[in-house]
Amino acid sequence: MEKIFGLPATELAFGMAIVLICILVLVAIGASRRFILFKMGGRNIPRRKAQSFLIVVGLMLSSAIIATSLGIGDTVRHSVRSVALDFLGPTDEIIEGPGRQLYGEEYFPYSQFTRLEQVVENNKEIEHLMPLIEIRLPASNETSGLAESSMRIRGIDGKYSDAFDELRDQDNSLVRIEDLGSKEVYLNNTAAKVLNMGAGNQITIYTQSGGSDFKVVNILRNGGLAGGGGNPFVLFALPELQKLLGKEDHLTAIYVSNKGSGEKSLELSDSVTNFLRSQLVDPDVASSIFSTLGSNDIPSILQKESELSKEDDRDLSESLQSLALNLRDESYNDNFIEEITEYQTQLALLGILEKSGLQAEAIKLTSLLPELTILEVEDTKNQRVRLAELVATGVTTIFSIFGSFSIMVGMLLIFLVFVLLAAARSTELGMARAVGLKRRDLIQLFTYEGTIYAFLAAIVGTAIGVGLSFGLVFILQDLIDSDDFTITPYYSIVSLVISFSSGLILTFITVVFSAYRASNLNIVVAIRGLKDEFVKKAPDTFKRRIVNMIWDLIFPIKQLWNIFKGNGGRVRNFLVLLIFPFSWPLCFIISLFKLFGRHSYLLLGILFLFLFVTGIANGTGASFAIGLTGMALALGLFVRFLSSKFTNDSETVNQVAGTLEGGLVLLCNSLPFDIFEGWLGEFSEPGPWFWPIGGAVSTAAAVWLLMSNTRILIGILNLILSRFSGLKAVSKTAVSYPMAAKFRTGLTVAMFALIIFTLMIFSVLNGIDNVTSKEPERVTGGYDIKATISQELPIKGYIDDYLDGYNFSVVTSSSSVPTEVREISGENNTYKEAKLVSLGDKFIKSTEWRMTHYDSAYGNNDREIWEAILNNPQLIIANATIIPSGDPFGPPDRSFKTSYISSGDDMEMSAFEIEVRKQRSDAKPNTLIVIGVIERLASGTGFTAQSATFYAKSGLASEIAQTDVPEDTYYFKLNGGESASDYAQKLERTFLSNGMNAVSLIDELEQERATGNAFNKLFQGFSGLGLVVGVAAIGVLSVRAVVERRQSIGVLRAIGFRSSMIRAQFLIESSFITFLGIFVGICLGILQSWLIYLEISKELEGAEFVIPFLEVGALIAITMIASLVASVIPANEASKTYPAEALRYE
Amino acid sequence: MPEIVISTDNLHKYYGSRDQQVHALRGVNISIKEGEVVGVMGPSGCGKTTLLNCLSGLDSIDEGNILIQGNTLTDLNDDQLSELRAKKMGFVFQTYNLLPVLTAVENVELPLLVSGYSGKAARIKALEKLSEVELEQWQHHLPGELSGGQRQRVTLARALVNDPAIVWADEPTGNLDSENERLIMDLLIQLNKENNQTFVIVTHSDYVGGRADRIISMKDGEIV
Repeated sequence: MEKIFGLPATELAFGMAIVLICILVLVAIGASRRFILFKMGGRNIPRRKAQSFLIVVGLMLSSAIIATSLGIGDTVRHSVRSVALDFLGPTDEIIEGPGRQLYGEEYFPYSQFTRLEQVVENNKEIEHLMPLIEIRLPASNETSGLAESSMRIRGIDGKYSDAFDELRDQDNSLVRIEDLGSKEVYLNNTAAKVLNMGAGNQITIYTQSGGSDFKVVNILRNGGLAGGGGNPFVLFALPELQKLLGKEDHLTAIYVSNKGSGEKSLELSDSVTNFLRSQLVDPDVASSIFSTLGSNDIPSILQKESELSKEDDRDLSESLQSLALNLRDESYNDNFIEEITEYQTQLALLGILEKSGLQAEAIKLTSLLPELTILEVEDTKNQRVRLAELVATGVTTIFSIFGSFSIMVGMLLIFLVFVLLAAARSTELGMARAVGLKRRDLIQLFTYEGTIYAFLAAIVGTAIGVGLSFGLVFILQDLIDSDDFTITPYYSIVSLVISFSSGLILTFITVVFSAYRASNLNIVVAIRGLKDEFVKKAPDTFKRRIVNMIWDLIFPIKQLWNIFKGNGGRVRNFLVLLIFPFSWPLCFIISLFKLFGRHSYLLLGILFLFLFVTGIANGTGASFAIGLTGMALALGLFVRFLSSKFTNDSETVNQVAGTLEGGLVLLCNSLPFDIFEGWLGEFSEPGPWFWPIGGAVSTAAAVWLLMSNTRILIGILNLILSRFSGLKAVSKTAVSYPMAAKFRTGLTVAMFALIIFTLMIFSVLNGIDNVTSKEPERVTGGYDIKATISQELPIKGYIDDYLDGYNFSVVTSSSSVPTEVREISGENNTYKEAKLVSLGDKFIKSTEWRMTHYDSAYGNNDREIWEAILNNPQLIIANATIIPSGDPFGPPDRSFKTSYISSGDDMEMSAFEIEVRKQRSDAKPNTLIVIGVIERLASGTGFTAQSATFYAKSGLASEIAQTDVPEDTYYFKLNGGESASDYAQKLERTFLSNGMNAVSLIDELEQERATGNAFNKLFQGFSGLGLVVGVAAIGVLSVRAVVERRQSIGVLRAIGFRSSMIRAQFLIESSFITFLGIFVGICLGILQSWLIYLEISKELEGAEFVIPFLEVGALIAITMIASLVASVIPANEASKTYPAEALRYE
Repeated sequence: MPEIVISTDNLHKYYGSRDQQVHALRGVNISIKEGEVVGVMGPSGCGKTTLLNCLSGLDSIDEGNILIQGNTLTDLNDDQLSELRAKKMGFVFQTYNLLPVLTAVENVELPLLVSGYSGKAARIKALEKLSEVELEQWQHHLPGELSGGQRQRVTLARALVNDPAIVWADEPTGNLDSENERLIMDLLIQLNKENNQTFVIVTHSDYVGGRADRIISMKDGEIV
């Protein structure tokens, strides 16, 4: 993959591998210097096999989750890429007509090919050219009655095909296009299957002049020129197809194959494309454009615009930058041609010139640009490979984000494991300190042990992650359910390195932090085992703190001084100096906090206030939100300081301050997304990674709030449990122990809460989507069947004339034309691509599509708005794609966007004017008024395009196109009772010669919903992996509790607890912790889902917020049962402890 | 004439494996009457604590017989033994062994809750017992917030709260200074007199031994 977590993959893998090697080298050097410490650390692993196993299982989950995300991305990338390469075979670039035709295939004279052949003769990077016609036509097997309404027909010039690509039949024998006789064709394997045909059968191909029969001579293997990717192809000799279509001496495409194969030919793609583009433009026009753009300081203007568009459209920014440089240096070269032939760049240039008041230059350019390109060159293979990259990166990002909760939980578990290990060994460590081991020796000792665990866990975790990713992608394959796309499991070395290293590095960092914490033990306390806590050092004097802060301000000098003087170990100081980009700010911040001491709330307050103000000033949502939450935390800490002045009861201080700290942070983090926008203006959307961070902060705050109120919690629970006389004694101890160990209980609660939080959001959001099953007409418009036909094979006359025997209540149609659109008075006054659809009157009168926004001056409800466009041809309605969505996952959408409406705005809008003109022309634009926007849901079945689309009454498409645009889409509403899918098939047969493709909209919708739900379940399952971590934590806690509390078990047995009561106590304890986690997770999940629902409901009228109680019940049951299973073995062990033996234990 | 509440017949107890077996109790025969305060003394490792654990049903025996208020311990299963301990016995340990996560009053009321008392009744009785050991005002404190003497008094209150017939005490003053030792013993003897409960006290202390009605001396697992 090219990018992982937004960083270049290869560099990331390389960097991580270096960090990993550094860690391992450091550990190895340390171990060789003091082997005894390594031995002391490592010996625990084989001694306590069961515990070691449990730890490795817990630690491996981070690696497994990262490895799974990357593996899925790799496989998707590899599969998309394989399909692209298989489909294109040796073709690297495709040359087609200049795109001046509005619909149908664009033909160009064969002589263009002959000219090109001469041009490329001396180009060493181009191996072959292949002239051909490629078109889609209906085809049928009249014998079997099977038909394909959109068969791909390829007419190949046999003089070039043998050199370009090999064609082989099912027996792997070579076949030649030249061998095809009159009225003969080849079929590829897919086409043969679709039509159930073999060699010798007759195939009927339908053109404008009717059906023609051809003999199938042979069935070819799929791939390359024979057509790949699971698509059906019929192969003709070029002259035969030209004759059939009446297009003698014409082509639709020229395929270009670069030198070499695979990656090598792909590497040449940019250079070949540049060369071809420079050869396939009108040199006079290009030169005129160059001189026009070189005048009036336009290069500087382009340079400025490049800077401005850097954030919104990186590709455009780079193009403008490149153009500016060429123009400034007066270098008219292939690179200039390459940039200027890009359609998006052309539109942007016109906009920039007009915006800068250079009307004369803009008009000149408008007339020149449509004449620039003779033939258009697309680096098709390169584009598909880039698409594969984009899809894979998107998939990895989605899985990483969902997995990030589990990774966080995994890290918490690592931390918990090492906290418990330190507690278990406190006496041993205290003794070690007493006999002369230094604090850093303890860190090393623990780090060695942790590194061994981390190493083992990273190996196992990565292996499991690879396996899991393969498993999940096969589920994906089932969900996609397409013959055209086959998933091929793949795992790259880069991903393997990243998975292994990141898992190990994350574990190592947590281990070192835990080791540092464990090393801070008080020797006497540890030896005597008096308390399971760590003693804080006495604070430095104020003067000392000032000096320390100044030293840390000049950190590198301090380290050099320490190295020179030998203070604190030269090697250690040198290593810390080596990582100064991290250690410098970290040490300085720590010094600052030490300087402020008990008044650190002030420092935090200032820092977060700065972020808050910066966020408001720049309109940065992330900065504003972090600042606000941080200030709330600082306020809570201030209250902690104040309350400690009034009472010495630390429990009360913790309760009051903790409630405020947790409560305020939770509150600030849970405010509706746009609550401040009314006062402070709009904020930029934070990136997708903000979501898991926000979730983690909310969870931490909720757990903090809960654990600060254990007194209340115990009181409530005792009140409830005291009603069950048999449970009183058991429940009292079961609840009191976890509430006393707040830190470890809080950590475990947080683990469960984080995962349940994610799963809850999925569950609730699944419910919101049910609007499509309750009101399908909002997606289908109320029609049962949608049918598209080839615009080159229009239905002659009225469609109703052909519909005898059908039982439709409404039959209507539409036609569409590609256009360029811009706002007249708005900010988006540069032409962008958009589609204009002219709807039949019946459609406008009968559609049930709803509006998200409309101008009430034109109507008081959706119907009246539709009627308005019927009465006034200047009025139009847009689809919701014109509203910027800020979707971080999808491919960039460069079609028209409005500046008048933002996502989440109220329904009331003011109509706005736009200019619409025919694409790639200098035609005079039509001024139209947008009076409404259809809700996004109406795009649900591919009904509307995903790019900007405008709907108008019939006739407008032809008016803008300045030619008759035939109808290409039909909508049918059944009278009732009939099967839409049966009727769809019947329609396809009736209109086979028009290439009709008809679908039942309800069937499509249901299939889409089922696929969507299945995807959600898949993500839910992946996110649910974190539950394993939570359950492992419960297991670890229970095992530790049995060991720690052996003597207490003896006492309880002595005062009359039966062994079953001891077992029950441990099981209730683990269930109680799990329940707290579930409770926090569910509450937070509902809260977050509610916030998301508020956003969705603004655009999706009728969306319902439903808590899926059945699903929540199942979630609670599964989690509780899993945690009970994890704690049942330790609980049994505890119950079997012999009382006298337990009492002897110290 | 007080009846015999504890008696043993040729009690034997072994520890360890077949190769390295320790004969901890070698044919111990004792009988203790109701209301007696009996001290069990002897050098370290002579089997005092083992004897106490076996008599209280905390540990099993390998040979012989134990009768507690007419119940043969070896005839009782684990649940019956637990019930016997809950209703008829109280325990005091050298290291107090209070549950650190429960307050003083919660520690004291725990045996009552095990015996099936309601929460309210258990709390009232536990407070009475704490009042008897003069710790009522410390009822909401955790053991960690109490001194050694106070903790042992809480332990005593817990041992006596369910009005047991027998109280087993293993080095009850082992962790206390002489002043607290005297206070605890005064309290213990006073309660013994008031409630006529039987006390079996394992101790090294001559002072504690001196306050007992009778001393059972042990050496190498035998009564001497």
